[in-house]
Amino acid sequence: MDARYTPIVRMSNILIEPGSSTFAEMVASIDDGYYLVGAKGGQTAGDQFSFGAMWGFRIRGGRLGRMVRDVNMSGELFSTLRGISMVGDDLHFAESGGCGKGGGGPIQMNRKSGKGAPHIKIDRVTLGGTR
Amino acid sequence: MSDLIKNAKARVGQAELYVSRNRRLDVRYADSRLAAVTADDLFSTALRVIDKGRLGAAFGVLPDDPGLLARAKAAAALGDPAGFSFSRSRRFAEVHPYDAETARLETQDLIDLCEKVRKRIGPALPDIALSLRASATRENIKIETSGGTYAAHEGSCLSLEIHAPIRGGGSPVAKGKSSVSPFDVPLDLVDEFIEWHRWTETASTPKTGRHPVLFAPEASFLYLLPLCAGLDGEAVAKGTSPLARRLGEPILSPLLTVVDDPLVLDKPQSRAFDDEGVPCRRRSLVEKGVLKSLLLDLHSAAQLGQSSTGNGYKRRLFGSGPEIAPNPWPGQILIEPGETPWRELLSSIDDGLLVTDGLGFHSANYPQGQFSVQALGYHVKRGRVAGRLERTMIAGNIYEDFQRVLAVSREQLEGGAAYAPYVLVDSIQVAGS
Repeated sequence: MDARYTPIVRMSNILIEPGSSTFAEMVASIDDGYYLVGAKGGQTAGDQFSFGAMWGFRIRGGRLGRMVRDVNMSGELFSTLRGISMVGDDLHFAESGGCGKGGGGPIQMNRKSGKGAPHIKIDRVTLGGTR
Repeated sequence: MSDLIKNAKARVGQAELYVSRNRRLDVRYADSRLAAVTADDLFSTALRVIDKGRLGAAFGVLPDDPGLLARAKAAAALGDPAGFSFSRSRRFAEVHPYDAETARLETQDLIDLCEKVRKRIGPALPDIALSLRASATRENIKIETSGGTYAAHEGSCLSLEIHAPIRGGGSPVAKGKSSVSPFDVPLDLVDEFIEWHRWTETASTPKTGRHPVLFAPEASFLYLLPLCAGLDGEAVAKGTSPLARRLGEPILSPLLTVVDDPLVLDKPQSRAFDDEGVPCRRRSLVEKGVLKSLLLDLHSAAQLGQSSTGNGYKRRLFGSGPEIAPNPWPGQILIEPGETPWRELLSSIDDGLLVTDGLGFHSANYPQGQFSVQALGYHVKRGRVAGRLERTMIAGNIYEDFQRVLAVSREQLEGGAAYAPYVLVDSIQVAGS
C-alpha cells in the first residue's frame, strides 16, 4: 500500500470454510500421494498457478511416509479447485498475512490480507521434482 | 559538499547520502484501448551513517528533510557493527545512458507508439485482449560520502511491453523492449509476438521424463537468478552459497560465459557506479563455465577481506528503491552468444520444450541452484512447435543441468534479467502427462 499505486481489486481476509473430515480420515483415504505443509509463496498468471510447499511427507497405502522438501505444484486454478474431494474439520489461519499483485505495474503488497484453511485433499495436482 | 554531509561530518563518524529523482510518463492500454495515463515525479533520499562503528540509516521523500541526520544517528545507536567504510572513490568511467530526446517524449508520443503497435497486431490477432504499456523515464542519482565521493548519474529509458492472454485462459504471451533512445515500432518484436501468440492456439503436454529444453532470453532469469544468488557475497561469507570456495572451478557448461558489464554504453541499466558510490567494472562472472568472480558490496567484501566489486545495489528479488539497503546484485548481465540461429536450435529438437517464462520461481530453493516452475512456452515435436505447454513443470539444479548445454544461439536479446542468447540444454526433468 503506497500513495504511488492506483487502487486495484484486492481481498481482505480469505478462508475456506471447514468441512467434516478428520485429518486421519483424509490421510487414510490416499493410496499414493503427498501431504504438503507450509507456504513458500506462489504466482498466478491468468488461470495458471504455481505454489511452493515448505516440506511434506509421502503418503503410501493411507500412511504418512518419508519426508520430502523442495516441492512445487502447479496447474489450472479452477480445475484444481474442482478436484477438491475432502475438506478437513480443522480451520487454521496463517500467523502472517500478505499477498502481492501486479495490477499491470509494480508489485503491490497487501499486508492486511489474512488467509486460512482446513486441510484440503485434491485428487490430482502436477508436482515438480527432480525424480 | 552538501550541507547535510558537512553536518554529518561534525556529528557522526561517516555518512553516505543517496538522492534520487525519477520522472516517468506511463501509458497503458487494456483490451486494445487506452486505459490509463500517469505522470510521476518521485524524489527520495537515503542517508546511511556509521557512528561509533555502528551502521544506521534513514529515508525520506522531501528534497530537504531536516530530520534525516538525527534519525540515522538514532538508528546507528542500536545498529549492527558496520565493519566497513563508505566509498572514497573519486574517479568513475564515462557512462551516460541518457538521451535528451527520450526525456522530451510526451504522452502523445507514447500513445502514438502504442497505436502503431495495436494497428499492426490487430488485423493479425483480431480477437485478443491486447495490453500495452509504454513508459518514458528519466532517472537522476547522486551519491555523496564524507570520504570525498561525489557521483552523479543521469539515465533515460523508453520501454514498451506487449502482452495478451491466450484463448481459453492461461498465461499471457509477452514481449518487451527498452532503450536509452527513442525507437519506432520494433517490427521484429511485434511480428514475433504475433507468431508466438498463434502458437498458443493448440495445447500440448510433453510426457513426464527428461527432455531437451531451449531457454528463450525471456526465460534466462530461471538460471541466472539462482546463479546470482550463489555469487552473492553475503551468502559466500555466511558459507551458505554452493559456490563458496569454488573460484577457478568449472561450475557450468564451457559453452556459457556470463559477464557483468554495467559500462556498456547503450543500455538503460548501464551505470558508472553502484548504489554505494563504488566504481563499476566489466567482469566475467563465469568464463567458459569456470567461476571467475563474485558479486560483492562494501559489507560482504569486508566480511571476505576483499574489495567491493561495485555490485552494491538497492535491489532485491521483489523490488528496488532508496529505502532498500544495498546488497550484492549484478549491474548488467550479458551472456555471450554462440553461432547458431535459435530457429535452427529449435529445429534440432525431436521432443522437447521451448521455455519462454516460468511461474513460481521464488518458491524453489533457488539460492542452492534449484529451479522448479510451471514451464510456460511451447512443446516442440520433430523440430516444430506442437502447441503451448499445458500442465507442465520443469525442475532441476543449474549446477547439474547447465553442465550439459548443447548450444547457445547467435542472437543475444533482451530478457528480463540479462541480454542473453537462447540456450539449449541437453535434458531437464519434465513433469507432464
